[in-house]
Amino acid sequence: MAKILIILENSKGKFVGLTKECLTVVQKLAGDLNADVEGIVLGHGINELAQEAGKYGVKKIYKVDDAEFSGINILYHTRTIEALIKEIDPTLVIAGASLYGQELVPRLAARFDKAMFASVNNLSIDDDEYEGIHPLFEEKLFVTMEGSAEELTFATILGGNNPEAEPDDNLSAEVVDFSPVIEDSDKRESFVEETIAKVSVDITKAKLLVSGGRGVGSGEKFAVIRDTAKALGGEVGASRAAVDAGWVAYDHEIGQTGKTVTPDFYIAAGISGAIQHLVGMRNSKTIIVVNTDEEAPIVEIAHFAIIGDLHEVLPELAKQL
Amino acid sequence: MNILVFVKATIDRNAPLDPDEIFPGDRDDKSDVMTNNYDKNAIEAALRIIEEKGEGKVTAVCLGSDMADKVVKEAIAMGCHGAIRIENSKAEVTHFFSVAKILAAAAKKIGEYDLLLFGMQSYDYGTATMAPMVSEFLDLPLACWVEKVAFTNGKVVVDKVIEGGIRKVEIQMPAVLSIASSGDFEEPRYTSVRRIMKASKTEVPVWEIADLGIEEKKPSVEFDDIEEPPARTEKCIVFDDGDANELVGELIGALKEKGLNLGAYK
Ligand SMILES: Cc1cc2nc3c(=O)[nH]c(=O)nc-3n(C[C@H](O)[C@H](O)[C@H](O)COP(=O)(O)OP(=O)(O)OC[C@H]3O[C@@H](n4cnc5c(N)ncnc54)[C@H](O)[C@@H]3O)c2cc1C
Ligand SMILES: Nc1ncnc2c1ncn2[C@@H]1O[C@H](COP(=O)(O)O)[C@@H](O)[C@H]1O
Repeated sequence: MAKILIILENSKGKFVGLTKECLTVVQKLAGDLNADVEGIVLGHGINELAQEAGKYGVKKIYKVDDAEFSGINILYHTRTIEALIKEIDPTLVIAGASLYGQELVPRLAARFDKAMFASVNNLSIDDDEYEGIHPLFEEKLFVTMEGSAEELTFATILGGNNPEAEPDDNLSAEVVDFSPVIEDSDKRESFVEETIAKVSVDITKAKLLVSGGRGVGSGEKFAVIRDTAKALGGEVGASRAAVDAGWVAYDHEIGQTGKTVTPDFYIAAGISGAIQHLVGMRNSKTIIVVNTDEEAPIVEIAHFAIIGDLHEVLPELAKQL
Repeated sequence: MNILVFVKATIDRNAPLDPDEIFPGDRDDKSDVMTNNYDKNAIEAALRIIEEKGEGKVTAVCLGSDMADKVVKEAIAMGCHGAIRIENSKAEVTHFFSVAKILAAAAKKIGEYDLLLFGMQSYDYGTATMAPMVSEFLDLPLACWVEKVAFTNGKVVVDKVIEGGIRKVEIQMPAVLSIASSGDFEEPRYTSVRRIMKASKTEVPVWEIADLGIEEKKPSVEFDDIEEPPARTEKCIVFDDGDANELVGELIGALKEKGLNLGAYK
């Protein structure tokens, strides 16, 4: 029976959201290809996590649980997954197009001398061909990628296009230990440390978001975003620049490395509209921009834009409503 | 320190897009071509590293048609010491897998390098596959989305973007890095008209793909149709005339007209 291998990305003892979206794609493919889903999970102290993957329809989990994997080293991951692919011979190797997936999977594909479905919205099967759609020019055009389903195939799935798979407590998986494979040359990369912010507030359910970026100016001035959000009965959002500057917590970050939101109203103040931000909010129902620069790219995707200083416009907005 | 920085010519952001002409080589108008935005962050990183070390050389490498001359010359005008263009007339080679093989072979032919720098994504393809694939073909370690670099005995210590924070990793050189649009190299330097004039007189060697000794292989995944997303019917309504009071008044009026009530959540 054909096998699909999913790379189960995890962080802080949990599967990342994108891995669950990818599981939805994989469940559908498994049906269409009549294939078994197998997964690899790499890390340290990940026993429970490995068990949990079974609830998402993964039949067999290869668990690489080793102190060398407490921090991510892409060369270790590549080598170990390469060894597993050679052992179990899957027809498809798939992961989320997270920053990790985008670094790992093309490298892995190249190791097997394969091109890949790079950052596709979805992966489906039509006769004996895979098909995936990849955005070009920051989503101004889309290209269909095609490849034979008979060959070993690699794919990464973009976030925000598929619902997260729901766990089913009646399902479980066989968990197998898989030994890490590390060669001397892989030690050319070594993990030093990482900071990952905790998430405690969930802004994804808010109907209205007031979101601030670098244009707000300072941590103190960021109060105008909080005040406006409060006055309008919404939540606070932010660009990565505002989060990096320490003006607001990571919980509020919107975009590729933050949350994806689709509120009724999204007010973007002092945010230029880098594609990494847009992918997290462009499906909001009504987008209102406040920016001093009429040419800011975010204006292109907005429904309404006020060209002006957010420190004057936002208080006025709170006042008039 | 020898640095290769990979730069791509793409269609200008402000030029209209046509699904049949997505490569600069397909188009007649040279003014439609620009340096892939993020590659300027990579050039900035390369130049800063050399400036801080006080020694070294930066070479820009580009696979493209003669439309890309403008791009390699801009790299020189920004401060790169030299450039190489690999001829890709009429955009013969377009698949990222094949492009990665060509760029890796070009790096091999150049021979001496400590760092290979890439932009984090191309504006046209945006697959972000180039740095990982080239690093694999050259068997080099890699770090993507690099915001900061430091050097200690033969190693480069990088801060890379991850979801919710930063990861620090140490990698042995020679190494491949893709440079983030945020962080230390966020603002690429401007170049002057004078420098561009001067750069335009520089001879840039043009290499042929055929001389790179690459074994031809059909990519296992291919491109098919290119399509436009459904067009948006309404354009953004812009309010830019008046003081804050008037602007907000106009916005609220326009929202009301569309039956939208921003005050509904108070
Ligand atoms: C791998 C990677 C992942 C990333 N992920 C994300 C992500 O998930 N989310 C994200 O947001 N970013 C992300 N980024 C960063 C992204 O590329 C941009 O750097 C960032 O979004 C810029 O934030 P900004 O719009 O707030 O700042 P800027 O681009 O600096 O824009 C500031 C804006 O404020 C306007 N302005 C200035 N003063 C005023 C004023 N007084 N009133 C009104 N307007 C004013 C300016 O005109 C400008 O448009 C990521 C980057 C990388 C490398
Ligand atoms: N034709 C090319 N010539 C030189 N460099 C390229 C070319 N295509 C892509 N690159 C480099 O690879 C990076 C990532 O591109 P991509 O993988 O297409 O998203 C770009 O930012 C460039 O640095």
